[in-house]
Amino acid sequence: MSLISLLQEIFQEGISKANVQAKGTLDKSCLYRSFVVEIPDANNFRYGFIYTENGIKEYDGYATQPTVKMIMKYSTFLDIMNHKLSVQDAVYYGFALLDGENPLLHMNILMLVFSSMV
Amino acid sequence: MLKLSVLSGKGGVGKTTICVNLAYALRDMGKKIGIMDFDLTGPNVMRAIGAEESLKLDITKAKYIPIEHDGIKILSMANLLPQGKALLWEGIRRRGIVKEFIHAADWTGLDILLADLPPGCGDETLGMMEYFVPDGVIIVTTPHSLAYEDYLRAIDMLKLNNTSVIKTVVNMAYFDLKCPHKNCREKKHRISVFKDNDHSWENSFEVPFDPLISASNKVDLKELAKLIIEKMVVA
Repeated sequence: MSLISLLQEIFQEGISKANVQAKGTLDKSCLYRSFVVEIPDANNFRYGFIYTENGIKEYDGYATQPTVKMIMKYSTFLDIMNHKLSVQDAVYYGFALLDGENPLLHMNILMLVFSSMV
Repeated sequence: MLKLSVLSGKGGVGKTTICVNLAYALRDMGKKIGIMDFDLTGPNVMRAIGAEESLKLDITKAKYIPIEHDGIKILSMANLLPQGKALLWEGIRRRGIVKEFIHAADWTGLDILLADLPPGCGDETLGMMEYFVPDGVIIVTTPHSLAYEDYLRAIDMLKLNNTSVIKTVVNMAYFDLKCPHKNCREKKHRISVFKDNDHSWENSFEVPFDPLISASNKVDLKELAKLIIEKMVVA
């Protein structure tokens, strides 16, 4: 399995788990915010997902301008997956960079997906 | 809504103390006040105002709902970060947070929105200039020569942005000496470079050095608050 397919699988799994939590956690006003996670040093891996009324769904990360983009190194991603670094700390310490419209406000959705992945 | 910024060239001159006390003075005059704590890496407004820092902002809503304390609405990174956690974001993203605080928060119903800034002409200040566009600035300094140098730099930045200075607050300007035996008081000024070098001294608002000022509602800023309200009426 290639690195990209592996990352894809991890994200898909994270999103399906996050769906269960999302319905009870997030306000409806956050609906249809789109997110992209980019890991440039892993062959420009890019994964897009969107928060809808039915939960979190994946989407083509290239298709639209995402609400929030999270960019991190592959080593940071591995540190998160291996419980060496929390997503929160990765964000606060600037290892995972947030770009886009109101990134702090939408950080919860990203946290939700990542916490479901690890 | 009147938008005012409290800034300084030098750090440690008392911006947050002045900002918080000004908020109380304006509130006591019947105005609805909000404070945005733009000191993102050292957010102290919550502590200065005596509010609970552990209150966390709800970031699941479409807009931030500022935390309310003593009738004053506040938005601060202190309510987003875990206590003692450093925020290590570089410039462009810090400007992004400034923009987010302004546009993604619910500031409706206020008469005056105050912005408390970190010292100098850094990213938060530049972001505030670009996205907040204040109606006026309260610039805080002390009589110390080092503070004066940076005060001039801050003034230069404001001139470049055509931003008006409502008042220069010279904090810790003098000692308010009370004679123990007689019913008299004396203002003992600290040595200042202002008087010789700058006419803005004449237009400044002096605040005494008071070691007991540690929390909000201790500095009498009624006169400054009146001046701001007069400005609101004129505007």
